Amino acid sequence: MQDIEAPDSHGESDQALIQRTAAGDREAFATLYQRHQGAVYRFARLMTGSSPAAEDVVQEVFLVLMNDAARYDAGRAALTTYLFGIARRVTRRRLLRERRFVELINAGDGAQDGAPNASEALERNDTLQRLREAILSLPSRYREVVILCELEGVTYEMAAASIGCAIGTIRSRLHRARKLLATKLHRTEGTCTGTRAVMRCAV
Amino acid sequence: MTNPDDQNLSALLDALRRSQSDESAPFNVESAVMRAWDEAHAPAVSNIRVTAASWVASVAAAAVLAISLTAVGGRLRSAAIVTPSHPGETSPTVILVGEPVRDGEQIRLVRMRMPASALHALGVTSTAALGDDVDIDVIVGEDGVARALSLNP
Repeated sequence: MQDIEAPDSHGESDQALIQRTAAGDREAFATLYQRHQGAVYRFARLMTGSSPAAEDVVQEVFLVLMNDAARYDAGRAALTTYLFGIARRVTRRRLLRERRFVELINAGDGAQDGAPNASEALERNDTLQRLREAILSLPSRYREVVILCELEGVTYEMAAASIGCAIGTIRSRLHRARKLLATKLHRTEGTCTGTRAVMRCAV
Repeated sequence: MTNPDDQNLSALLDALRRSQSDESAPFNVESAVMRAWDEAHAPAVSNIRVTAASWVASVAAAAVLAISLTAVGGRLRSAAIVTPSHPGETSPTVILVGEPVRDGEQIRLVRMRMPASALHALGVTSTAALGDDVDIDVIVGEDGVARALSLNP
């Protein structure tokens, strides 16, 4: 697992920035936003399946940070853990309120690492899109551990702290989530292969 | 991918992670967050420098304030006058008007000059002669209603 808590090469530590934020330093708060908004946004986007909803979550998370910076205790949790914890609460509250997924995440980001040809890139995008949809269809308790541990590089320990459960629970949920994902992807494989064959014939 | 086993799933998840690693919230979100910061950290107390141009406005405002205070004179809590604890001190005298400032309430301070006679008519005594002008600070609450007057020595 990568350590996403470390400051960037030319920046202060999160702890120093949060202290400055608590003292009313706008620049420190802006730096914290720049450093962590991407992870919060990606988490919320995969949890909700909606970009506008993810934007709202990001906004709400950082407003909470702005108001509670003085109460943040670095000894209890890393800032990333703290932010994911807030994002999780905000997202779950939103999902409970709306009880719907408003849109599926758009594909199209995957053809950036030199796919040999357009057909393979299309197929890869299609596969990633099905993976996104499969993640989105997981129960939220499984979805969140997949996003945190598999996609955001959060350690089991940090994920447990964010979610508020034991590390063993994270392990078992992740194991179960991977099985569910594999089953879902396998189930949709035949349909999509057939669809692609029809498209290729049409072309 | 015909039968996604665990290894294939790991590869797929890794590909998804790489494909979205640069995704971030659009700029308008940052603007909204920083705007909220600015609003939350706006100075709660603003001093108004009395210049020649604003002096006339201050006198006019003083007149309006005097009329308003006369109208609500019954609400003036003369018992709530806070005076210096030691006779030699030069701290301002604070007179509470209406409701006290709530905990955490953001206030504004409006400085103005008004005739001492207007204050005297309201039952507020000051060391200034009746014909003189007195500098006062009006502490205004979030709802725009005056909370207190502060008489500068």
